[in-house]
Amino acid sequence: MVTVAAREVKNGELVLAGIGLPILATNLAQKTHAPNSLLMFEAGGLLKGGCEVLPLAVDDFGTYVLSEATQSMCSVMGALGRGEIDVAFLSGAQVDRFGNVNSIGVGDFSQPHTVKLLPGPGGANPMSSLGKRTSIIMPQEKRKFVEKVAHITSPGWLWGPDARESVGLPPDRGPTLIISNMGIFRFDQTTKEAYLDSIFPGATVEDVKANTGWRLKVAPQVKRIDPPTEKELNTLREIDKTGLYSK
Amino acid sequence: MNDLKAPFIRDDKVMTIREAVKRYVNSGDTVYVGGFQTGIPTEACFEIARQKKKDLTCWTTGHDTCLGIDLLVGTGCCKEVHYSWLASWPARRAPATQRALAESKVKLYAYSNYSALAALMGAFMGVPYMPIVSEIGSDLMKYNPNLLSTTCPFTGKKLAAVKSPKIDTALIAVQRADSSGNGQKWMGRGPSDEWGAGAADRVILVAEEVVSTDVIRHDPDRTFVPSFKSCAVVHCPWGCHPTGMHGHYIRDMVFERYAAKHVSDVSKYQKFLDEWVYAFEDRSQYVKHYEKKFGHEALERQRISNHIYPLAQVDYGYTRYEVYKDLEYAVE
Repeated sequence: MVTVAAREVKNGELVLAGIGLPILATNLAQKTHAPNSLLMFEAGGLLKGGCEVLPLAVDDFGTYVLSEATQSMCSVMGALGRGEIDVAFLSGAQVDRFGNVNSIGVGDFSQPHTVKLLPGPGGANPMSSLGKRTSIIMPQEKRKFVEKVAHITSPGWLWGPDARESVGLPPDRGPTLIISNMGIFRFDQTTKEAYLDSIFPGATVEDVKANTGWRLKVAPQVKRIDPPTEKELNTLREIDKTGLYSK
Repeated sequence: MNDLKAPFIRDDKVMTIREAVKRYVNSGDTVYVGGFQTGIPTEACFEIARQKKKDLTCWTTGHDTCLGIDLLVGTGCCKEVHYSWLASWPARRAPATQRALAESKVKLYAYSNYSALAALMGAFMGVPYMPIVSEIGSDLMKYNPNLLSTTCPFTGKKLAAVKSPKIDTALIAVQRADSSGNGQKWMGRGPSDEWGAGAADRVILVAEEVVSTDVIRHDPDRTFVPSFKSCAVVHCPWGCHPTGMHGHYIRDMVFERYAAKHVSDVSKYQKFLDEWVYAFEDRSQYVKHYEKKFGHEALERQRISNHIYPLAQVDYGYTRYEVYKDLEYAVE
């Protein structure tokens, strides 16, 4: 999943990394094919060429050590608002077929005492609302790939074509990718619905369908994802020497 | 002159945490708690719990510890939280807050980072609300009455709006402050602390170091809480433990995991609070206990060991205008 996420970052892009796997993926990208990309963290740290110290979180000293700017959260939100973030990575508890993500909790929100909390919306909502391209990281499980998310925390394509435009969201920005541990999903240009685009070695189309909570659309030709290259693996080992992210 | 609202112009603000919380945090207050994954002034939260303040509303953007807002909820001090991200990372959520929610003992109002920042900025600027471009089309607006749909008065474009909160007190951790209450920070400004501090009626500074005003005056760019906002300065080394303070000590991941285990287990919580919060009058006693229990090395290993200093000097100097006395360029 890490290498797929890393490959989504193009050289010369302004990238926003959320908590968790995206931090590792964006560092990998900067140290391999995207040395001229600029990495921004939620709290404001701005870095190029990968972090001197791999951060464990978005407000870690690793996001500031030898950074080019420390900024503030305000700067990050402003960059999103102005449409300057090329690619953003987010995760959450649930995703639906239109790329809407729930990152606030699971339960009946009209009865707050029933809700099982997650950390919260954080930057995920502005990322999916305002990032030019957003990748959603989500483990492939039926309880996560759901027919309808319990709470639309981060709006994807909402309910289909023209939906974003009708509510006032920028129509030319939004989620472009869902990355699971089994495969990659892209969004149909017309219907805005997710379809299975490629699968990891070892996974089958049937596996993915069985672990999706809606009738999953599949590309006519499902591609195989290239396994990590030797260079990518070695670079990952270099970046995360103590294996902090491999738990 | 109002003792509870800025401007505060005096130079005798250094006091104990007990005095600061006694005078400047009232039951019923809305309190902005500073920091995110570092720089949370946990000692201020501990003292609020010790003084049994009640009915507080806590305001934050991101907040990562079980010893800050989660503690205020768990001890019954806080009944309402406005947040965009609230968890203790080892627990993957805010444990005491989760329990309080299930028992309907706390009300939660969720924002995104964007709208939470904008809300603080609105309060900072003295306006009643801010227009925002996040939150549109999401369920966040459905469950938070402080987020509304609106349109641009100039163009008619669909927008959202967030209400500016009324913040009574801000608890802000800084590397250094002087006795007049100038708070200085480096390596980030506490992601949203500049806005939270400005938005509040009054600021309690929890400072690793108290320095002379001369030090402040030789580096005024670093002042992000100007003296007139501060009602109190507390000299509090390790005041942000276990969340860390840049330039002094890193996050104590081991203690946060240890604390999260106790906070997540209702049968262990009170004993944990008795041992780490209620047993002490100030942070120096907490630190002594930490060293006694876990060893001197356990504390020392958190201190900064790889130093990074500026490579180039900055000069805040000047030349007097007298050098131009009686000089004139002749006009041809």
